[in-house]
Amino acid sequence: MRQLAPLLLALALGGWALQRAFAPPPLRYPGPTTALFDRLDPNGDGRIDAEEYARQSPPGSPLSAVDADGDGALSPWEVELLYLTVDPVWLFAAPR
Amino acid sequence: MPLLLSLGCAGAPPPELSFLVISMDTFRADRVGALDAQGRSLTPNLDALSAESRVYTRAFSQSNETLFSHTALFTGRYPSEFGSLDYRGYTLPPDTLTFAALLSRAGWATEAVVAGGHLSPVFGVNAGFQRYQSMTDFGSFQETVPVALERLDALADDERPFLLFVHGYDAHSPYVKPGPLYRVDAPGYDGPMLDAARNPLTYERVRWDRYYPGFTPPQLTTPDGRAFLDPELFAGLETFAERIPGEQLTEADIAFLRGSYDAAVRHVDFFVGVMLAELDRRGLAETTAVVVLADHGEDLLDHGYFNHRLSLHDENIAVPLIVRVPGAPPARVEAPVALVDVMPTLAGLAGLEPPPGRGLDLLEAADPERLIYSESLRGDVSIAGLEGRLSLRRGDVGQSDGPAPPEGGWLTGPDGEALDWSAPNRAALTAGLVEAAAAQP
Repeated sequence: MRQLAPLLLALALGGWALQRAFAPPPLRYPGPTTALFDRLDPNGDGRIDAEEYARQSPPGSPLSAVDADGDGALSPWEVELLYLTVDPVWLFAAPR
Repeated sequence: MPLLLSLGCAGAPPPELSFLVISMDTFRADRVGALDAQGRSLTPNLDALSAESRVYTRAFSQSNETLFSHTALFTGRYPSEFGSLDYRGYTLPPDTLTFAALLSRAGWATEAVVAGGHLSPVFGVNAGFQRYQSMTDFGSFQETVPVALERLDALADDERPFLLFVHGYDAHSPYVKPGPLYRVDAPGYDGPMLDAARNPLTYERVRWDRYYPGFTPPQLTTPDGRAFLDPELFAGLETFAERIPGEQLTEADIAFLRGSYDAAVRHVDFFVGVMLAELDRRGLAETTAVVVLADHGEDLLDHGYFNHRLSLHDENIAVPLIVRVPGAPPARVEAPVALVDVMPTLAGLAGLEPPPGRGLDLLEAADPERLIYSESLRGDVSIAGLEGRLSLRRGDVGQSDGPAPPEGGWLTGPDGEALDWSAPNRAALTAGLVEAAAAQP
């Protein structure tokens, strides 16, 4: 058992590190972001999936462009990131 | 001290109060607390602020256009007191006594972060601010708020109390500032307006239920070469529509355009929440009075256009006005108030003598009989009170005691309905107009 202890410790540390690496960061503005996210998440499952995103965004704006962790959906921290960093001017077209 | 008596507050505000003033461009008064199709508020952050503030439910702007209404806000005077309402020559003199100048002279640090456009320094609206950062023209809080937060850090380290003014055009057309999720209030819409909405000129090409993609709105050019839409575009579009049939908009098209405005409202509300959270996080909320307001509203086809400069109807000049003073109890004030009142209010809170002007201290007892004056760059004047609103073209004021509204004039109540111009109402209506006209320089 004693020989296994370093291995178990390494596994535990590895697991902790992996969890840290993939855990979403805490929301910077929990109140405003949660209120906004709730509106964007009509089925209330805590994630904006590809279908929900497509219904609320313009055609041709891929979810992958704003899906920071690449899991195929937006979670609250990704929505916060989106609102705080995406330049809205990207949507503007040249006047016709 | 009159302030404390009038506030009736349990705790007095700090002796040297700082001020955060947030101007939400083009934000209709009726959108604060409005519910969406699911019964959820569009503005949860403004609602939370309102619950701990004095909320003025009948606040009016002195103009339906950004430059002129901010002039009234900053100075406590009517816009036309500084010149003819025309972008091409309208400029506040550098020595204008704005609330920023008043506070600056008294030792406050005074800064502004604005989204350019009609608040560009070329119009002199930076008068009195020690630092005035004008960002991308007609840009979003998404750009101004991060800069404002940087300045808040600097101001928090300053020994002086401060005034920080923050502004964004998020609810101004085109209503696409919410980035990729601008269809949140019209999910699934897939009509022609979806793409067209990203074009800033699309909104100037809609009249009632028709869209005129071939119409090119006329523009004015300021002395420094900036181009702005000519307010006569409305007449231009009418003329154009007589020749070109345009395209029929469906109910879904219109619902989408209106819904994109509501999505923009949510975007504004988010950034107000961010500003307030950061004020709190820095420990400044207890020493900072917060004023949140709009410069004007927006016609969302209520009167035939997606614009605010057509008229002085309530949709265009009724604005949110929320004032949170540390230690003061919340209240809802129904009496009419105006943006010109902000200047004397800030002066009063700072313990300074307000300069002569048109406004009243918002924290003093409000006058329910008060008439609120507004004017537009198209020559309209408007008088709003609890009993309704009366408007007509400035040049027709002298004829207003005639048997009927003068040709070219129009008289409307709070819901846009025609007012009864016959005797005995005529005398009271005329008196109100004449009083407002006489108050003009």
